[in-house]
Amino acid sequence: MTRHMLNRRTLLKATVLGSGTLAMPSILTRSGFAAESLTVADVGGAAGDAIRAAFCEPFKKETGVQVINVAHDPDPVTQFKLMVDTKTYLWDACMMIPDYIFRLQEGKNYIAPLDLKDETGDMVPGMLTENWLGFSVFGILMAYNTEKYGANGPKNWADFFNPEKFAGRRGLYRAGWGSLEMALLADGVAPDKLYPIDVDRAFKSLEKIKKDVSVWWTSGAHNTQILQSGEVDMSDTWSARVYGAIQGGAKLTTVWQGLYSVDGWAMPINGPKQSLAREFIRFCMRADRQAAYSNLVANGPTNKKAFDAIAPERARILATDPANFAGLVPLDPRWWSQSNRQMVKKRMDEWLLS
Amino acid sequence: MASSDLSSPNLSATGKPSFRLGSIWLAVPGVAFLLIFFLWPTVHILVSAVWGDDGRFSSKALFSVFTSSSYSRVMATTFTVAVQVTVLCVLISYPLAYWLSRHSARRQRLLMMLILLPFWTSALVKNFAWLVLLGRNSNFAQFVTSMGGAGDRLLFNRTVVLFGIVHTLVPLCVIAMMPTFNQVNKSLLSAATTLGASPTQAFWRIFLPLSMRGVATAGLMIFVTSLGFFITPSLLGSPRETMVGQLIIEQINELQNLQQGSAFGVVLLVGAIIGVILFDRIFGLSGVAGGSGNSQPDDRVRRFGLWLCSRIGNMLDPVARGYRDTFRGLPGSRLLGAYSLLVIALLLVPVVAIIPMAFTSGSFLAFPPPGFSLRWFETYFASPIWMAATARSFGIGLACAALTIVVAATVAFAVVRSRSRLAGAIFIFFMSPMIVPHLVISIGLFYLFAQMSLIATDIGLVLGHSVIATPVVFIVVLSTLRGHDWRLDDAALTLGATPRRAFFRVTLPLISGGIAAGLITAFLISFEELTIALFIGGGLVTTLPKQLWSDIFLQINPTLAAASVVVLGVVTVLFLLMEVISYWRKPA
Repeated sequence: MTRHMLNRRTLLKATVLGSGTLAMPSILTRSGFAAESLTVADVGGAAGDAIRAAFCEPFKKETGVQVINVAHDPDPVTQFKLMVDTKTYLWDACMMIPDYIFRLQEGKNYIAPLDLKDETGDMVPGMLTENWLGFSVFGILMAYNTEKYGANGPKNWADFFNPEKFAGRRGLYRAGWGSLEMALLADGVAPDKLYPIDVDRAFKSLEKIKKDVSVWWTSGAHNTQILQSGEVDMSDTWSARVYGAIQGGAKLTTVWQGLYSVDGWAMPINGPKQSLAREFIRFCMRADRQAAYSNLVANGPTNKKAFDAIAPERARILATDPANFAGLVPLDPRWWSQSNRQMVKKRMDEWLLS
Repeated sequence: MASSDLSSPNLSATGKPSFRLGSIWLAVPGVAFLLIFFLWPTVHILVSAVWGDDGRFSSKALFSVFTSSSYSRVMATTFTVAVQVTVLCVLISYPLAYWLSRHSARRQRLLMMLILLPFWTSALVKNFAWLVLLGRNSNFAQFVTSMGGAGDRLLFNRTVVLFGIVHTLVPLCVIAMMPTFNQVNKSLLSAATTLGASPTQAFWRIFLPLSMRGVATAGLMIFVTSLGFFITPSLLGSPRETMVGQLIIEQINELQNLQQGSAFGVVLLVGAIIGVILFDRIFGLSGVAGGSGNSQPDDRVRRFGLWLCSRIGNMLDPVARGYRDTFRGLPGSRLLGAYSLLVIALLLVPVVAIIPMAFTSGSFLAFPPPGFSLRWFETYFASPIWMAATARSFGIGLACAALTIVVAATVAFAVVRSRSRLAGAIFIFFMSPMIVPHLVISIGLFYLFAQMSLIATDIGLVLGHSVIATPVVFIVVLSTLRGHDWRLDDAALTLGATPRRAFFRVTLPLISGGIAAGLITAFLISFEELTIALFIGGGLVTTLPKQLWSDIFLQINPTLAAASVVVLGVVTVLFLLMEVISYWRKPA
């Protein structure tokens, strides 16, 4: 694609020469940002507000550098690639899970090296890599309606996949990301033996509840809405999402069995403000900042010291709480590569439409 | 149709010939606009359907659309849904538009404002509102269950997807029909009655044939627009209702498979172009060159249509008579009024439901809300991001409407007035941005704008929105111009007016209804557009739909409803203000 794009670009250049005048006013708009400022892209919504309060504003207070946080698409990989390919560095850092980092390094590398060290030794191992800093741990788990099941709800994924034992409407993530793993857990695969995913076995397991899944949800808000309004009785979900719904009064409870993944910062390769962005990311490693963030959004910190500043009852609802964390295994980004995602997607569509 | 029927090409000889021959040149700026900002960027993306990552030709992705059982099934669903939606929209909108056309201009504007209100609410908010209103725990579902229906099965099926799409598109359908309906000379109807036709016959033999151009315009627009729907089927449908727009987004945006995504885009484009050509063949929308003789639809088709209309008219006449004799107190016109008000009420359901949802004290969209509070309005008004996004959406909408009307109207004028063979090609070309998925246009524009430093600028957004709005505005203005009686211009010219004077004093006032409809549609399309804002805005230059989209990472919160209510309020106040001003300036 790269070579092709390059040709395309030179061709575009030729046509664009004539319209150069149109670009003039844009210079005025873009230079509106001060020299000492950064733009970081996050997932938006409540998490975006929390990032602003816990990281961006304190960073400005300490360094004078303004950090503008904007929201990116639920899956920012295409946008990120476009940005780097056209050298239009809109974002100096971007919030991404390891999957995205992995996908942005398949073939051409789009991620800049981070060059940061865990100086205090407080980071959870694996949360700081050569090009990524994780700071927001979330669980991919089960939630069910307590009004429907009371205290005798499903205890694990085997129960979820057993419509005879637990009648009720189910929701599942249509992309297969996470839901295939749940199907395997339900079929008795040991958590540490999930990868490489036995796709045939996973679909065989899914077959058992096909007619009981009334909603194959497609986006985070969709997932929350169907759980909160009682449209489904149980569904796979993410920890911060379901916690938000519970806080809002929804009659839901969680079953901490499943996967976890981590959101974190990465920088686009050859970006113009890397040293400044690096300072901001270093700032996000700090225990006090991570604690402030986890107090606002129900995602776990990656700096072990952060728990000192998090109240015990708050810590208990986070994915990083030992009791919760025991039931979770890391989602493997290497398995969810470009080709496997494509294959799962195709197979899922064929299966759902047959 | 009939009015242009009558204006034979010979009459044009009385006008200044240079005016005619030169009219195709009027299309140059508009065509250049679309060549630069649409065709060039889009083609460069679409060619990747056959050019793989390695730069080699491969038709594998393109073939898979037909060979894969699930893909071909999605394609079939997409086109079936589009046809069903078109038929439903036209059938539902026609009586409503007919009823509207019998009202005074001021009444029409007021009713039109009501009909367009749901359009001001973001598609995202509306679809989530349906999830709430039709969910199995909703009052309506309980009502259906108590009536013996399957109240818990209202969502996630074909019917509700059709309902959602039709509900979204009926206002568009009505606005596309109105200019033509208003152009039908009402004295023709009284002439028919004087000559002995019953009202039923007059409708079927005079009004219906004369209004067919508006129906065709609206139908074409609905068909092509509905092909690209993705939010409604993914939120309200089951996997069986998957439409190709969803697949394109998944392939390009989630799987980074530009090749497969473009392959879907190409097949969709080809299918839609075939649809456009068929439509044009039957209804003669483009008015292809070579004098009015050729610009008319196939003679046999037309004659068959007219024959059919008069047959139905004659057949229904005794039925209508019988009805009038049986139900004396309830004339048909009253029935039509009741039907129209019912449709308008249905259109307003989500709008009306969103208002209490915005004043909820809870943190979710719920109906009825658990309690009253202003907290979501406080959140909205206290947030500089929401305020800036709202202001920008209005500003960009206005700029986009201005730019689009210039581009679309000049080209429409050229197509109608020119006898050049190019007119037909220009027509198809100007319809094409409606068919190409917005995602493809957005990514193509990203490459182009990156070269022009237009990424994350307001100008970039205006240009992008204009590309998307151009076909709709073009077809609305075109159908108005097609119905315009050009003999009036000829008369003005004969009487010594300069072409410019004739245009401003005769043509413009007569087509102002179509121009106004074009401006409103352009504004509405810009106001609702998401994909361009997502890619070209990059999160830095945020419009209202983009802000709504960003805000739902974890959940749909009532701030979105509050934002919608504020927009509805602003629009209503602006409209009423304009009405009051026009009332004082020109007492009716």
